[in-house]
Amino acid sequence: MSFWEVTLWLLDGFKISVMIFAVTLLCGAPLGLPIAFCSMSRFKPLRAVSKFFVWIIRGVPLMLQIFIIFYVPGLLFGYQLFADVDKFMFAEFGIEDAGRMLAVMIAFTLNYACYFSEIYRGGIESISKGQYEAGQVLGMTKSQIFFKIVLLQVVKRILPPMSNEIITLIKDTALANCIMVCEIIKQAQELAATKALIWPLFYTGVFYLLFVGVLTILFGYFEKKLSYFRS
Amino acid sequence: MKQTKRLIACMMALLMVLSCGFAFSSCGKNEEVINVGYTLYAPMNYKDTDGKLIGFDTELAEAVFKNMGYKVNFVEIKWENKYTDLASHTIDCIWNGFTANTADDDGVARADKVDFSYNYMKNKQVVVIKEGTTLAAKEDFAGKTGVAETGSAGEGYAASFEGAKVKGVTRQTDALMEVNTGTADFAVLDEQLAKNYCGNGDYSELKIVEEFSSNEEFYAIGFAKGSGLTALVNEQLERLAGDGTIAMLAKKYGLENTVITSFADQKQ
Repeated sequence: MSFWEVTLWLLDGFKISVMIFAVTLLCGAPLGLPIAFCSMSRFKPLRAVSKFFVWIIRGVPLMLQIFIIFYVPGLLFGYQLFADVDKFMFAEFGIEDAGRMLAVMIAFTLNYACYFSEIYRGGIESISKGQYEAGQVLGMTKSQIFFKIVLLQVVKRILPPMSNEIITLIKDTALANCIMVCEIIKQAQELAATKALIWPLFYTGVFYLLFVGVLTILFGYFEKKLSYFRS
Repeated sequence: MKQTKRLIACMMALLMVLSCGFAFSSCGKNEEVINVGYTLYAPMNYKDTDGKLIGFDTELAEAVFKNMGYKVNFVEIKWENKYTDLASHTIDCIWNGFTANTADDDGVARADKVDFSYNYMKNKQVVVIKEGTTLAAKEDFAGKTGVAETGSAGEGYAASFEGAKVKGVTRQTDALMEVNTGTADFAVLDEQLAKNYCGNGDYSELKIVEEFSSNEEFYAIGFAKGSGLTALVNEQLERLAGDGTIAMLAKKYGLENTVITSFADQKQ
């Protein structure tokens, strides 16, 4: 296989990695917000449930979470949603591995939503009480205060920890390998297994590096854009 | 005001719980497709130059399930997860040069863990080394490092070589690569696969040491315990043996010496 063919082959896998990345970000980032609110709620039981949930998700390795989500429903109830999704997508659209992808995406979304929620919580709680009071004095409602005063500053403050987490996310997608989703590292391992080509495995690093490079530039740009208010 | 806020809070908690639970709720069972678990393994299941999945087991599975009115979805699995995959129904059967008459390295017979179809092919475990190294007697294994696929019949057999340290790897082909690159001294794997790889292409320096081969083993298709599919697949195997399809496929993949085309003596 030529260098170019290997690149294309690995790119097929990297598409899957990026897909997991994108779905996790698009679903996980918004989902983190309600979890953060629950964790800050003054209603104790809700706060307890939310904190317990975050503890479980952050306390268990992501790989194990993927196994749990993919295998446990079938083991307990004898019904496998993901296998049926697999079959359905294969029969209707000829798409393979759809069920496994779905399982991985659910696991990643839940996991990252919890991490994001804690970043949001930290950001929201870092806004001083005086600002809320100022809003109240101006006669703003609670939601007005949150959306017009607090949220803008929160976005600024959480950008560095968020970019950190997002960079980790693209590398974490390699964990999908554990239930044989064809992400880039599995694609490379397949070359090693069937064609005895070992160098593609190490070559995959270049793909991650480029992707993270783009992300770094992007976040640097956003940080600059959001650096108003600083004097 | 406080009341409504509580209500919203409760609803949010409920939503969180539901969103987890909802993902697993039913969505109508699709009966026309069957999920067949496999690992890449020439000549049983492997890809041709266009990336199309071919092989003896691939074509046989397609023929059997076509007769039963199913479309086959081949699902690549990790061999070490095969029982989990079966038990959790992510696959409906294991059809991948699955050695039936052996025990895993926990000592429990595989037949106690899954239901097997008729044996359709003979096999044995062989030892593979690199040209230039020697394994002449049983004592030579002492201090050597062996590799075998985790959860494979080969791993169970490798454990019988005293003094050797055996490491599990993800695929049988990974075991060959370890020996080829010198990270291990010998590999234990299925004869069918070893014959196909050793001496060819990148593996031209690998060879089989015949004198350490295991006793005769058989390949069969594995189903979850109590699966209704076992009997139906057996029926089709007999039919395809009768019309010569199995013999024809065996010839295509150079397996005519090991294939089994009469199941009369296996009937209960």
